[in-house]
Amino acid sequence: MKRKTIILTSVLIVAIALHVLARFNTDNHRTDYVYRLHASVLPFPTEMIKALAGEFKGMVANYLLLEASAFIGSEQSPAAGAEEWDAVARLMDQSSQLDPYFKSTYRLAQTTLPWEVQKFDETLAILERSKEHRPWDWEPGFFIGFDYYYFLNDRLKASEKLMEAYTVPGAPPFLITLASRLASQAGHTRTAIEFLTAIYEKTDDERLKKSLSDRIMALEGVVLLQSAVDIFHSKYDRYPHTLDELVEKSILPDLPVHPYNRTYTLKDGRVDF
Amino acid sequence: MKQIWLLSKITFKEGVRNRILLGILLVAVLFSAFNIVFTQMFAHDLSKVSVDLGLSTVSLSGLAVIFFMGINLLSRDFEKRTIYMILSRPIARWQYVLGKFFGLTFMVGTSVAILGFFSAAGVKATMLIAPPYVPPNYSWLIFILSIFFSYLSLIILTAIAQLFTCLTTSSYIALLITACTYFIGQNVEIVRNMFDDGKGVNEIYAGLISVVTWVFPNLQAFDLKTAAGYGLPLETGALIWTAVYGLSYVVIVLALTILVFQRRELS
Repeated sequence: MKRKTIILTSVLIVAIALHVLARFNTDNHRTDYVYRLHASVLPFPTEMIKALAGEFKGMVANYLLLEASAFIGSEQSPAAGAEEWDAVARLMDQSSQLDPYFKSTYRLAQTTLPWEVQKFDETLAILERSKEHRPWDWEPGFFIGFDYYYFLNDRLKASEKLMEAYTVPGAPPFLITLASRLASQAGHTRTAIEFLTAIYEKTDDERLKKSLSDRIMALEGVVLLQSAVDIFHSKYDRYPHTLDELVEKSILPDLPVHPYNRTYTLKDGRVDF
Repeated sequence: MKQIWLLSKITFKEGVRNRILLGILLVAVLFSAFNIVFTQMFAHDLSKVSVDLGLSTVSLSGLAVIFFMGINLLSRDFEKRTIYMILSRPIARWQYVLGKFFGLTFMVGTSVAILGFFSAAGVKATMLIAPPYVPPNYSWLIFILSIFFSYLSLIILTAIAQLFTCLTTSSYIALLITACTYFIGQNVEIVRNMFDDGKGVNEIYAGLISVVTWVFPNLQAFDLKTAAGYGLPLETGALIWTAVYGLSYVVIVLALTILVFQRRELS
């Protein structure tokens, strides 16, 4: 009996010593995880979700994103108010924090949040997180560059971000062309069309292709109308009161079709969609 | 050694008699089919979604085996008093503890193996349906490692369940405490990292958290699902130390269980 207790105590002591050593070594190897947590500074609700999700964080992230995409794809989204869109943005952010590697999250955020509800900061936060966790993927950096250029009108920053994206192995060469064009202050809408066309040609995703082609069509309409407005201005020394005036004065045979079934807008000589 | 093997076999057979394997097989087939359907709802990283769902099913079913069957099997001997019959035979108490533990571990291992196989089939099917969405560095080795580490965390929980069953001799209390241990174990690392950041935290509270992180196992260290989903590189050193961390924890808990059981008055 005494011998057994000695053996058991010895086993226990050796196991504890080994465990302490293993714990320190495991902690050292897990500093990367600590870094990831630092990178995603979480507000209280997301922390709570993380804690509750435990080892099923990936599954919860998928679920949250499904919720967001279900809303966006639903018939309610065009009529939704700021509160609903805030919730969608929060869902995407939570999903991105739970699983910062997920490509669907940043793609969905980029194709909806800045366009539909002008949530530029929220989109950039998700994109930056994706870029940090997906060092093999050039797309988040590309989208960041696009957003700085098109939405925030910061061409220098956009150019910097595109150049950064170009450093990712396998990044397409057009990034550097776009970056340099931006640096030399190319035309605003035309450059946006080039950005979108480039990504349209690279993607196999039919849903994204449809969304991009609509966006490209809308922007091409803006380019056409803007040049007609400029011609009108040089002819009559004033801007047209409405876009229909362009057709009335025979500058355009017809107004371009709007892909979102809305009308193009004209304000102080600038056309928008 | 013979007695331990015999007890393991009996425990495993008891589990089989409970038709648990049939249930697991059913879950495996259902989830594999669901995996393929669920994955198609996403536009990107389909294989990641598939791996997430597959590996989560493996963990979830392992947990279900421990919570709903394992604890019941362990406490039945105390509650039905069959423990006297077993210990009246030439079986030492430490042999009883180890025999029961290995039997259950084998049971959980069989469940993990069945589900792991079906999960891999589901993931493979998704990859065949949507080859462009397979991450460039995807590795089946990491997938298998992830299942192995998931199994290791389940072994830790089995050992903890056995310790609390011996301590309390009640299946309900053992289940409750083991579930709490699982929950704490999953969050130990997050809490510790929060306190590593926070300055001006109450010293007593910080000390208490430190003790908790030593007493409870860091189960997040065994969660490699994200790495498996994206084929992220893993360090061999980190894996070895994590395995040592888990196994040494199991040995400590088993030694404590034997100590408790040997001193326990059963009459």
